[in-house]
Order: sequence, then structure tokens, then C-alpha cells
Amino acid sequence: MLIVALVSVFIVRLADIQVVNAAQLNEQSDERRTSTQVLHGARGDIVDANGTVMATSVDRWAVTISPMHTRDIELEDGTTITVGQMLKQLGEITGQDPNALAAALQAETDKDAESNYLVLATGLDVEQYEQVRQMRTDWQLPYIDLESRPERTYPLGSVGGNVIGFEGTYGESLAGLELMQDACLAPTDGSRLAEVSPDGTEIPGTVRVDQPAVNGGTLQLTIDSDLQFSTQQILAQYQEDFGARSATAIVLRKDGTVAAIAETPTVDPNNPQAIDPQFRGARTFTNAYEPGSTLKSVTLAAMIDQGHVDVEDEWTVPWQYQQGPVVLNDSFVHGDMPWTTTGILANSSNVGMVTMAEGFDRSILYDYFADFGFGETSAIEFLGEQPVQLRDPATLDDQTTANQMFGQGIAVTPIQMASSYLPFANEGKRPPVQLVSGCTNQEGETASPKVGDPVQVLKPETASDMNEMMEVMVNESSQDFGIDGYRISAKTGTAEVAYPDGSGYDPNAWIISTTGVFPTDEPEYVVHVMIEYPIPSMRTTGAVGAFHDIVNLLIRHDSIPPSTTEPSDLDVEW
Amino acid sequence: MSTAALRQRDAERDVETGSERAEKPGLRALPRWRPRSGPKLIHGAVALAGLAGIVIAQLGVSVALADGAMEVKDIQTQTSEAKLHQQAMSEQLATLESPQQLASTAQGLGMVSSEQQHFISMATGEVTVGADAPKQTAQALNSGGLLYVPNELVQSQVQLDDATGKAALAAQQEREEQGYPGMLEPVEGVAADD
Repeated sequence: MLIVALVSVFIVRLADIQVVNAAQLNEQSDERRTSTQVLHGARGDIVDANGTVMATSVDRWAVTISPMHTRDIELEDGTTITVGQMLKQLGEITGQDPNALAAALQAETDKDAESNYLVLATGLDVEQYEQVRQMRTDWQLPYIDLESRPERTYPLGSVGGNVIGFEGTYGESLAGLELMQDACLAPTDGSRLAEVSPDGTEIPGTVRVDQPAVNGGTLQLTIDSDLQFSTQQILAQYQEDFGARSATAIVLRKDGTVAAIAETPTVDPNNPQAIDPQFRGARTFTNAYEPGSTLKSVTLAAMIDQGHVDVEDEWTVPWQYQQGPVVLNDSFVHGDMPWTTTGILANSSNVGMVTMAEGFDRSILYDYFADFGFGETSAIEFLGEQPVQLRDPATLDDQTTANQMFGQGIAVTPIQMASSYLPFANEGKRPPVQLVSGCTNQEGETASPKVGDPVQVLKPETASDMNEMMEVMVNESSQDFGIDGYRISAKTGTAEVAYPDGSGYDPNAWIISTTGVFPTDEPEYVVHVMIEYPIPSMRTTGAVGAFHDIVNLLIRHDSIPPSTTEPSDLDVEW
Repeated sequence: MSTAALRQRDAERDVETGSERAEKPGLRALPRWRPRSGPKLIHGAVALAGLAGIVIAQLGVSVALADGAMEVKDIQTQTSEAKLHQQAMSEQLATLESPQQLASTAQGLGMVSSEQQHFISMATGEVTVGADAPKQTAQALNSGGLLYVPNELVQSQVQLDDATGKAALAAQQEREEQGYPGMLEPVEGVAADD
């Protein structure tokens, strides 16, 4: 009977162990025998059009300490390593003030006497990591630990920093493509289980990979980092010379892909705090401004495309215009000039533009504005990009209606202004602008962003006419920004800046710009340059110098040979 | 049945019985029963030796496995150290080949971009003029000695190079003041720059 009872007890216990609590016991057993390790996947790189790495992830470490266990350590040879010594040595390695480290340690202990975790330093590179590890081993410091914290690094610094964006202290994406394309770049962590001996050594053959880590994808941009760097360098020099607040340059290939988006000042993603917050983003997409005379090419193209005017029409243009409540004048005093339509554009005459626009239906003009890409975000849809809604032409007063013909009373973003010249380089078609070429995942599969179809904005002959007229503008300019042997089409602009409250224009604030197409006969690039708030003495110089140097750079970069066709012979006067 | 038939049958039966008797063995005595003897010493020795062999083999395998595990761990440590070293080198290389570093080094060496670009026709050998001189000479560093296109990773290197360069220049000037064997002396009759 006793035997039967004993066997019954054993059977019940066996069932309890093998069936009822099997899972829990297995788990407890695994906890004792196995070590679970998180497998960190690497965040994907951001590379330029040629594969040059612009952003990548590197191993970095944080030094953590257990304040409650921090004490003087006596070594086997009788030497005592004090906490002060440790902090001094750590400070020498990390470049921190040992007193500040001691203060942080004391503050943590005062706050919580049983605190077991405090981060003393972050961002240690390989050399510093090795030094701290050596210190910990030599001095047998049980209370110090090194925690892996991969960080983002940007080998090219601020080259394209405005669009690439940056991460925060804890690796969170905060701006630019880092944030916009997080789905492509972010890795998926995995886990790894292995049985270990009491000293932590993995037992061979017991490794079980539960889930492998998946690295983030590689994001390829359309930007050429060499061009981007050189454009930023040119721009920064002009900004310094002009005493300007900032400057922007956009280089688009004729197919709408972005070759460079240069802004200065530009954030260096390696150290975003080093720059004023207003310059940490991409102003190309977020800042609206009144374009001024660079918009004349757009409004004139609409009138020519509709047959409202012709390139060789003859006009008599005074320097002032007054019709009812509308009063305006040209930027320089002149008599009644016998200008052709080309002459009006070449001389950037406000009076001429408004005179030509008499009787032109503004609702048609607004349709053209929409086709040119104004009033909507670009196809890039950059973070915080402004669509800058177009106002209903029926609600505009007469003065604003007139002013819009020469780029006042309408706001655009720099990317809108640049892409509005794409129809001149594409026989009247405007392809969507594109910044991201594709995302390639770990398996090598590339996903390209969906790009819309080009919009036929102008008739091909209108685009050709406009290129010739703008070429005449370059060749007739007193500012000498053409390049001998090359055909370049461009339009300059000097725009006033309105007060934020709409009470008028700030007499000391100007935005000088130049936008153009190059080469005229076989367009390859659209270049847009703007210098914001130059010192007054430099205002009349315009942005033509920077435009010239960027076109010069493109010729050298692509080894573009001189044009083989004759320049335009359109008449300026009749 | 007739008498003759009966006689015949009995005779056949006698013949059969006689042949059976001839083939069957005769009765014999069973061997005497003896109790089974206990295991011999040799058996125990063999069993113990086998057991010892198994234990020793198991120990050997365990030692080999542990040794192998240690070796694997050592190799893994070496691999991770090599990876760290490679990463440190890659970071240095990326910094050295960054455009800021190249531009500032080029500027330090006195290099400038060409004034006028030319093209040579491979077919005719004709030389044509390309891009003219930029209106601004491209500079890596601004008037404050900072990079026009900032790079936190390079700026410190540039400053370091600058400091190293100045220290080397000062050392060279000091040596020249004292003079050293083989030092090139100014040519007599050539006026020094004022």
C-alpha cells in the first residue's frame, strides 16, 4: 500500500514537471543556462548618385557606472585605486572635466543612495573604448561598464546636410531624409540564444538564432556629392563677400533629378547644435519668398504660348506706368524705349511686362502658374515643404494683379522657382523633381520611388523662344556673366522682402537671384541661385557671379565642350 | 479379415518396430547438476576498465569541447577587435578622403584651380577654349581659418595639421638660424625679399 502511494506521488510530480509546468520550468532553465543577446541590425547608409557614403553608422560606446557600488579598490599588490583617480583617468580619456564627473556622481548618489546606473560619458570612439576597457581591466573596476550605442556619422560633414538631416542624442531621427526615409533606413533587431557555462563562455553547438537582425536599406540620392560640395563652397564664399544672411543654389538635371541643393549656412549633421536652429532645415523647400524678375520668364512664356504676344513684337516702353490705380516703374530711369518683346525681357522692364499683359486673362495665367508647379509641393514632398497656395486671381486688387507680372505679390519656394524653368530645358515639359533614386534592401532588391509623368506646360517652340530670349538677356547684360563659347540662358531678379505683417516692403532687405538653363542649344541643367539679405552696396551686383561660377563648375565637372551652334540673333530694339 | 491377412499385417508391424528400434538412441544418464559459479574477477575488471574508459573518454571530449569553446571565444574576441580596428581605420580614411580635407590640403600645398580650361580634339588635335576662370577663387578656409563647408570630423584635423605645420616650420626656422650641415645658403648677390 505504501509503495502504491509513493508511486502515485511520483507520477503526480512527474506529470506536474513534464506537463503542467513544463513551459515555465523550461524557461527558468533557459534563463539559468542560456544567454539571450539582442542582435542589432545596422542602420542603412545614405549614398550619393555615385555611391559615395554621405551617412553611415559606426560603433560608439557610453561609459556607465553603478554609483551605489562605486568605491576605492584595493589591488592584489596592495595599491589602492581611489574613485578620484578613476575619474581623473576617465576624464583624460574622454576629454571631460573630472570635477564635473565627480559632481554628477555625487548628485546621483544624493538623489538616490541605491542608484545602480548613471551614464558618465557617451560617444566614445574605438580608441577611447579600448582605453576605458584597459583601465577597467588593469584597475579591476567592477562598477564601470561600457554600453554599446551605435551612432550615425556623416563623413562629408555639412555636404548636403540640409537635406540629409540628422539624429538626436539617443539615435532618433530628427530631420531631413533621415526622418522621411526612416522606413528604408531603419534596421530590425534580432535575437540570439546560446547556452553558456558559469563563466559566460558559450557552449559550442548550443547557439540558437531565434531571429536574425535585418540591416536597414541603402538610400541612394540623385545628388552628386562632388558638385554639392563645390556648389556649397562657391555659395559660402559669395555669402561672405556679400555680407549676406544666407544663400541658396539649386542644380537640377534636365530630367528633374536634383544634382545639388546647396544652402549656406548649412547644418553639419555631425554636430547640429553648432548652428542656429533656423539654418538646420532645408530652406529650399520650406521658405517662401517673392521671386521678383526671375518670374518674368514664366509670365512672358504664358503670354507667348497663348499667342498674346510674339518675341519680335515692337513696343514703346516709358520708365513709368500709370493706369487708374496702378502705378509702377522700372528699376532705372530711361526715356521711351523702342524695345521688342525680347528687349523688354533683356532689360527686365516692369513697365514693358505690364504693358504687354494688358488684356491677358489672368485665370489663364493662373492655369499656367499651376502647370509650372506653383501652389503645390514638389514631387519630393520634403519634410515641412510649403505648397504656398496661389491666391484666386479674382480676389486680387489691380496693383497686385499688375505686380505679379514681374514677380511681386506672389510667393514661391526656391525649389518651385528652380523647377519652373525645367520646361525651358525639356521642350515645354516639366518633369517632377526627384531627390531619392531608390532604396536597396539587404537582399539587394531596389525599390524606386514612383515618379509622376511630366506635365506639358508649354509648346516646344515657346520653350525654344524663351531660351533664345533669355540668352539675349545674358549676352546683353552689362554684368558680364556669360562664358565665351557657351550658350547660356538666364534671367536675373532683385526682389524686395515684405514685412511679416504685410505692411509693406523692408527697404533694407533684398533677395538677389539668377535662374537659368544651360547649354541653350542642348539643355542639360537648370541652375537657380539666390543670395538673401546682402549688404546694400552689394545688392546691385546681383547673383550673376555665383551663377557664372556654378555654370563654370558644371562645364569643368562634366567636361562640357563649347557650343557648336550660333547664339540667338533676336533683336532687342526695333 | 482372414487369418493369412492378419499374419501378414503382424509381420509388417514387426518389421517396422524393428527398424525404429535400430534408429532411436538408447537411454542415457543426464549430467550431474552443478550450481552456477559466481562472476569472475576478470569480468569485474573488464567492466570497470570499460567504465573508466567511458569516463576518461567523456572527460577528454569535455576538455576538448571546453578547449574548443575557449579557442572559439578567443577567435571571436580577436575578430571583434579586428572589426573595431577596421572601423577605426575606415573612419580615418573617410575623414582623409572627405572633400574638405582634400581641399584644405590642396590649398595648403598652394594649389589653385586652373584659370582657363582647354579642350583638345582627339581627331584633329585642335585646341579649343573651354570654361573661363571662376570669378571667385575656390578656397577651402574662410578668413577666420574655418572651413567654408563645415565638417566636424575634419575641422579638428585641419587645426591639427595647421598646428603641426606651424610647429614644424618653427623648428625648421630655428635649425636654419643655428645652421646645419648641408643647409642651402642664399646665393651671394641675390637680394633678399624685404
